[in-house]
Amino acid sequence: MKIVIGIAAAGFLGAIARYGIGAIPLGEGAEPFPWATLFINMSGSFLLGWLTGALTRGKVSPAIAEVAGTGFLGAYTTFSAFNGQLWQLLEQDAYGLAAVYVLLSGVGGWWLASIGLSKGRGVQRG
Amino acid sequence: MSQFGIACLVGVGGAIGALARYGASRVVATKKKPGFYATLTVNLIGSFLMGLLIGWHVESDHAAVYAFVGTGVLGGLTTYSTLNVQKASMLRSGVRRMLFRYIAATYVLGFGLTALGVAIGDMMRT
Repeated sequence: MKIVIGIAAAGFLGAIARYGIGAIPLGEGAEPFPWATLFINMSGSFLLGWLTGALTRGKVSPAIAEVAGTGFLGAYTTFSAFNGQLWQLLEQDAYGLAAVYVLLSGVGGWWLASIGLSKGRGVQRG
Repeated sequence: MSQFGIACLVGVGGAIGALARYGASRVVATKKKPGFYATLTVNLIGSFLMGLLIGWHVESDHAAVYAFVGTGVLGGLTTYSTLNVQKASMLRSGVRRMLFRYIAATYVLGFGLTALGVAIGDMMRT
């Protein structure tokens, strides 16, 4: 039961953190590019990689990993907004930006998750 | 509604979404299936529902509803960090075919369901 309350509380904070970053103004003339979601998904991927790696060598407890990983980082990052923004970029015929968005989120985030895993495990990346 | 009120709606929605995602992961674990089944399921459902909200113009017409359902519940339900860490783990385990299928299912079906949701939402609005 404790874990359920922990995940709910962490999910609450993760979603608010995502909302807060999304509300940061980027200034006049900023490109219509979903920078906030990109930053969130890439940073969240790195942090979850690190947490998962740290869990495998017992540096964090399974309960902490579940609350911080499934609760906070799971709610912080989002796949539904990613697809929604991708649809909006394509609707505006911004094909180049859409491709950049997919590659940075899907390949860049993947790479960051992999680096995070290695760092969490405390091994050289290889 | 105030910025604080909106943030609270996002947080409560995020907690609900995170709990639903945790529930899905528990169901999959109980059935002894790989964890990515749960991630794929919540990401696809969330992407479809996000499409509905976009097609329905919920963000511009009903900001509070969008904050709760879209940014909160769907943002909390879906996840990109787990997706990227799973991709990194699968690559390391050498399960290339499963990795390829997972990536194809996630991105092709995810975006397709968002587009379908937009089309249905648009029809429901008019």
